[in-house]
Amino acid sequence: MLRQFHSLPGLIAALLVMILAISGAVLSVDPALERLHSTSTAAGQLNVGQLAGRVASHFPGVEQIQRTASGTVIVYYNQDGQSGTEKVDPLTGQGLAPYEPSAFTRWMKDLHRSLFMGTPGHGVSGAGALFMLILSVSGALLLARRLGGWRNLLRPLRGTFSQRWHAEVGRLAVLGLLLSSLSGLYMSATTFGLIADGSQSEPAFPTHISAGPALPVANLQALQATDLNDLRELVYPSPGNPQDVFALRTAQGDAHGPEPG
Amino acid sequence: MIFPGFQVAASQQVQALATTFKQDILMKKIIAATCLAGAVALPGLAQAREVTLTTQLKDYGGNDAYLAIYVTDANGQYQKTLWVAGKKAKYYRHLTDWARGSGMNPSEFDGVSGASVGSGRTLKVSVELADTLIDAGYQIHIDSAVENKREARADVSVPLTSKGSGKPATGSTYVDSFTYDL
Repeated sequence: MLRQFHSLPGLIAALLVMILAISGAVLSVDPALERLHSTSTAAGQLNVGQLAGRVASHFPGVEQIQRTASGTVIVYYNQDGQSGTEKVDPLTGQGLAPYEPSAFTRWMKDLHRSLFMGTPGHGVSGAGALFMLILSVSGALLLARRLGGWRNLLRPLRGTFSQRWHAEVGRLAVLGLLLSSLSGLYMSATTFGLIADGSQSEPAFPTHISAGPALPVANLQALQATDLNDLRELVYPSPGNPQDVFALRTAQGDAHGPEPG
Repeated sequence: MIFPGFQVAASQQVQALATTFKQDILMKKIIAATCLAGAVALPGLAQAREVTLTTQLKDYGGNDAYLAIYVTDANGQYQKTLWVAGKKAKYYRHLTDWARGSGMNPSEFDGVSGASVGSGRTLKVSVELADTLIDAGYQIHIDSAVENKREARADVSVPLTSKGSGKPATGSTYVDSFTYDL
């Protein structure tokens, strides 16, 4: 019974699970690659106020500063009616190169998330993650039974190579597979709005704003108090709209701050 | 004016059928009266016309774009949503200025939203627009956003005038050209 529970989903979903696993493995290399090419700063070395000041001197039309989880600092700006996106050196605020997300990564991500099929594809991918979970759990149970209990799980397997290779590989991979399938299911559930992904707990935009004289961005206290490593996103107020404010998104949460006037 | 009537009817649902029937007639009277009052008041207040919005996107190479097309006053203060392209409300905050102005309140874009728009594609929609907004210093703005790429406030910003009708305006980020036909 348990064996059927393991082999039937395996047969049905083999191709799907393989596509998801391989594309996921390719995507998992991305953050590491990105980290290699970005300047890292120690905690306490640079705060967001300093960065914003340096960026403002190189990009007068700055609209937004973004820091990816792997440390790349990206500036969105507007110049002469045309918009640009540039990777910057956080230490100087100077532009390094125009930032263009990789088309290959986007293609791979689309394959991994929805097999290029939009919303129905998201469902298929989610089902793939569920199959992977079923396979991992039933595989682990089979393995425990074959070795005579959970305590013997790390003992050598008996039999010829063809009898034991699947169990050997499975034993090595099962923890990773469980983690991947559970995180995949979680992301699928957030895509379909079944569970909250944290974006609901954002502060409302302030209804009352006390307009005063403008401070230079580098002097704003909230920005000085935020370490660069905690920064996710700093949105500047629209130029020419005195009712607008700064919006700061950090690893801990979001806030709206005073406008520069 | 219409709500007290509805509330009375709702709270007395458990009462005898005859009472409900009377309530029903009363409610219909209220509705009829309100409609009549509206019909008398409307022509003077809000002459509206149909306007066609044509938004041609650049070939920016990326996921489908979310767009918010809305009217602001001369200072850029939000007035009214004309169209929102993109169905997942959790991404609306990336349409920064529009999100702030409208408060992302569903009643602001009820009935005037649709699918997101692909790279290089054209969005063409017809919406109702009050005559009072034309030639009165108002502007049409488009905010745009694409996943993993930058978001743009005022990708397009054009004055809303009868002279500007049919004349394409260029966008700064994802929008190649935008035309409104009054």
